Amino acid sequence: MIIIHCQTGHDVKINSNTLENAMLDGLDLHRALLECFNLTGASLRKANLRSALMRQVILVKADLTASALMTADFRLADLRNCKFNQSTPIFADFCQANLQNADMAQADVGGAVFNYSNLKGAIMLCNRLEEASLEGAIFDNKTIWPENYDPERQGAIRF
Amino acid sequence: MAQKITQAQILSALKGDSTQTTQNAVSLPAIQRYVARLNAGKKAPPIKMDGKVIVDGNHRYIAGLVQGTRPDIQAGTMAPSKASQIKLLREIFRRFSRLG
Repeated sequence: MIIIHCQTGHDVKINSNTLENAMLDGLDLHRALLECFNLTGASLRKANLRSALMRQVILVKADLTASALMTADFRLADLRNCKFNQSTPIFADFCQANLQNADMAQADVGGAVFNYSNLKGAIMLCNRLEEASLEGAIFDNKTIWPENYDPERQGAIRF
Repeated sequence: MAQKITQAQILSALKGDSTQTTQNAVSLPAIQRYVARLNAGKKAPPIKMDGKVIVDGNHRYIAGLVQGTRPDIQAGTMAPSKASQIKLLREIFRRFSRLG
């Protein structure tokens, strides 16, 4: 049994010995304390992760489709190949996160901060990308941007 | 139907307030919903604070300030990793245009 504590005072009990590949769809994890947790391959579709603390979390190949991610803290997180489609990381903090090959298509990233993150190979076809901060983020030829969007003008660096 | 609280009214209520937060932004519609509940006579759940820092309940705190019915406060613990992100609540008030 794993207990995820939330700053709201709410505890979420997971009947498993690991969160790797865990099915956590639709769970209420508002302000969950998930720093440094290993959630590789986990499914968090439509989960409520508003203001969740996920600094240095490992979410490689995890599925966060349509999850609520407003003001979530993903600093230094390992988010390689993670799916964020139709999620809402509004004002979320992705500083120094590794988003290599992540799929952000149709995610609402208004106010989100991607400073110094790794966006190599990421699909950045997000909504409100022009309102996000990309200072010092790195990308490559495989990164997919919206048409007419100039990442270098926003401070991102081709690497 | 009651008139919705405006951004200007919230900014006015926060003027001079020294409460702190580690959150990057708050939602105007969420505050409006809490104010409407307070106006309907409902009591907001307690918020959690670590000293002057709101750990949980930024929207409830602002709604209470605007409406005049402040929520109860319980002791909370701020995550150490957020210590570098403490700022005044009034400085982060922005509008989430699509939060609903």
